[in-house]
Amino acid sequence: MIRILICFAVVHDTENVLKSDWENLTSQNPGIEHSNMIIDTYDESALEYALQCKEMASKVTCPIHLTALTIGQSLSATIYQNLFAVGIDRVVLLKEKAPVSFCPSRISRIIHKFTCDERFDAIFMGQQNSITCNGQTGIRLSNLLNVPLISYVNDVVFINNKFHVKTKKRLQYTRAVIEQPAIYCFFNAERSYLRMATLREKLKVQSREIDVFDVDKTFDQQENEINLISLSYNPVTRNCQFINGQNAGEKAQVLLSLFMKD
Amino acid sequence: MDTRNSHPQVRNRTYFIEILPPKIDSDKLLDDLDLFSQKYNRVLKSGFCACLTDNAMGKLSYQPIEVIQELELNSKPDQVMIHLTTFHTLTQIHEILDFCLDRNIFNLLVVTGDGSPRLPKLSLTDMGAVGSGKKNVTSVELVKYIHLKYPSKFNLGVAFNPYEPFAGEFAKMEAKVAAGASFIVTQPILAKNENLDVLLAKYADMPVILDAWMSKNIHLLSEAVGHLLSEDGAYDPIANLEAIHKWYPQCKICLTQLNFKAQFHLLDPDMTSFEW
Amino acid sequence: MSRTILVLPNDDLENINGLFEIIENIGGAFDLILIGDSGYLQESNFKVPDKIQSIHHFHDLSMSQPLGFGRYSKSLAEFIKQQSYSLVISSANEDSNVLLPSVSTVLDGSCMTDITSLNEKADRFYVTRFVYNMNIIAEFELCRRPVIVSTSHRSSTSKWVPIKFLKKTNHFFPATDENWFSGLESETITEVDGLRNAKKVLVAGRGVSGKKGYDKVAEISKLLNAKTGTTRPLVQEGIAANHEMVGSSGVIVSPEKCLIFGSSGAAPFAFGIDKSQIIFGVNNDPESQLFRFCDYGIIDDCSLIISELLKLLQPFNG
Repeated sequence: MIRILICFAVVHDTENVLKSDWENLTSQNPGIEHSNMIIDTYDESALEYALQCKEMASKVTCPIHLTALTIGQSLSATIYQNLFAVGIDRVVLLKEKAPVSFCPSRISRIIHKFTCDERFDAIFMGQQNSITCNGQTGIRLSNLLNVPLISYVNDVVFINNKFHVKTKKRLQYTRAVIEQPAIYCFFNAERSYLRMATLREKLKVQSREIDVFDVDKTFDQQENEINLISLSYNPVTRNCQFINGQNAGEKAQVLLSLFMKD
Repeated sequence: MDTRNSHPQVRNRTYFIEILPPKIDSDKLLDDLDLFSQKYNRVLKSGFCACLTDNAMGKLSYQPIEVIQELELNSKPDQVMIHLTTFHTLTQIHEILDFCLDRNIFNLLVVTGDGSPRLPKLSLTDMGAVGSGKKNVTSVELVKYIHLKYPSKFNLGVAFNPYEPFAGEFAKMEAKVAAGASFIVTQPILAKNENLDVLLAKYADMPVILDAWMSKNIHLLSEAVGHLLSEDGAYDPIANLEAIHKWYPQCKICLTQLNFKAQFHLLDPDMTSFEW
Repeated sequence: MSRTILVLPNDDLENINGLFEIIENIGGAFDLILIGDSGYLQESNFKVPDKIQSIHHFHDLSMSQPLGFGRYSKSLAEFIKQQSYSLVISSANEDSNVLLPSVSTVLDGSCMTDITSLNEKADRFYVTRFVYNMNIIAEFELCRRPVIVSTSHRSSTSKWVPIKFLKKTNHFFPATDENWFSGLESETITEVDGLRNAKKVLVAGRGVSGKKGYDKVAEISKLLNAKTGTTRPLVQEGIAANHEMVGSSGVIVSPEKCLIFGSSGAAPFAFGIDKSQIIFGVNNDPESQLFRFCDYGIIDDCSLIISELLKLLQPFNG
């Protein structure tokens, strides 16, 4: 049995936050608590590729078991039921009361502790987090575990019991067969979204529960390497002048003359 | 107080009533399914036609067929219409069509659809020779494809947007009718409309179903009609519905965003069978 | 304790000048670590601020290593430790943003990539960077030493003079066996459209109504001698190609004129167009975030404006 750990973060869906919503921002809080919580888009790729590998493995003799792991105070039933419904075998919440945003070192040490207790053949995760934008968790975890890191993963397939990886960096694709346990960080992957569960799949998992473990308190006592000082709204740098006209034709004419002007 | 007598125009009509299946990200799925089931059964019992949407306005929702199947809902021919967009794989399209045949659901409204990056998109390569050299699949190709693969099995409707420029929209409609469309459903009607008048004259033999927007939410309505509406003054959906009956007495009406609690009883249904 | 600037093989002169500008407000002497053998690093062309005191040139540290940075990060970490650097600063790119956190982990320091500013107050380092999908700017204190940061700040002006007598030391890293992968193959992706360096760019967003709308925008681009870019949703829908995606995780454009149709103006996209000199935006929603980033805006249906532009440009067609 091949075991894949997929690390995912649950984040605010900033795509659907209105301009006016950011006005609630304070120096330490973005003020968007009411916004939807979603799985980070980069991590969605990691989850989807893990599911694809599981499907490929099911056609041969070597089955793949998928554990999805997140860190936080809680995990909504909508999110974990969806993960079970699409085919994740086990969902783990490492319960941590202290905020973990902007603490890549602490996050990687918490995951490291979990992976030391259980053996995994591959760890999949998004390379970035769209909220903290740190992009460090996979790298730090790779050093802590002393396993290779494959960054900018664009595509992974599972053939003959091995992961075949394709990375995309600058203007170059690289392909290789990975021969030992490794960490795969997905970035702008070909499949960006986690598949959708059918209603039947969703109804089947309504009573399934996740594994919850408390994070070791010693992690809280260690000093963070990064301290958040303040947050401020990305200021507007341009003053937009609106082009008016009786109809689209008139507006297009003004637009074109401005665009063509040297 | 019984408010029905104040709205005689809307009573004893045969309405199409749009019902939205539960959203994919619903955090109260079982409640939403229960509500869907209540609405669906109420529409069918009242002799109206339930129109079940396919990811309406790009909002990801469960498919009508899976909701009917999982909730074990009855379907009566002529009283269920399913919307079908081009945002499916070909396998999914066949699953939907086979299910519809199995459940005697023959009326489909075929639209290109708003889609979502999360949804697959039909490709002409998969669909074979129905593309006429174009690169993307629209309702025209899908109507053609369904007729090709399921000859004479379905009654296929297509959409008409009276707010689009006349020439382009009529050229599209000609292509849709040539592909095999047999009824037309419009965008929400808010006033007497010249483009609609031309459509009714040109396709006099074809059923044209007018959409009546039943919500007071102007913002959503703006999205539905594709242009910005003034939010000055309240929009009265019942008054608009009555007006549509007066302007276009020959047409059937589809009620979108109907409030089942506050509005359904005004329709005063007393039908034993649905008339197309 | 000394500080150092790290120059990577893919850096150009604008990157390097950007780094020099960033350290203007930072005290202390700096070293320069050059990695690889890029042509513009030849001493005769090289202009540096006078706070740079010596150069360490690392040979055979091929940053083209496509899959892993393990051996480089350990060697580099060892050198940084040996030199007792308290600050390491590099330009932000796909290589450095993996290499620097890796080095920082080995040294148990503080690391932040893609910073927009760096300040030193009372021997503490403060940086700013975009967070929350680029909607917010955050200020952080980087608490542990060494502080290792990367920045995408660039500068086209060089205020410095060539310095001929900088002490230069050569270093060589030993080759190591990489036996954790096999069957390595690389393929260069041809950038067909030159979007990155185009002088005029048109961007088709989700509001252009599918493939048809996208094709029309491409047609207008052709008539205006501009290049066509797109936003993430159109790439996801298979309407446009990946290499046409403009934004923080795609191509960052910097044209003289940039015209955007039907984008919601999400912050990661705005990051990709913000370096344009003049930005025009079309969206039917007056509240759209897009207009925050525009010099000129049109509130109207994109399809209508696109059709009208095509009509106006018809005389130039063919």
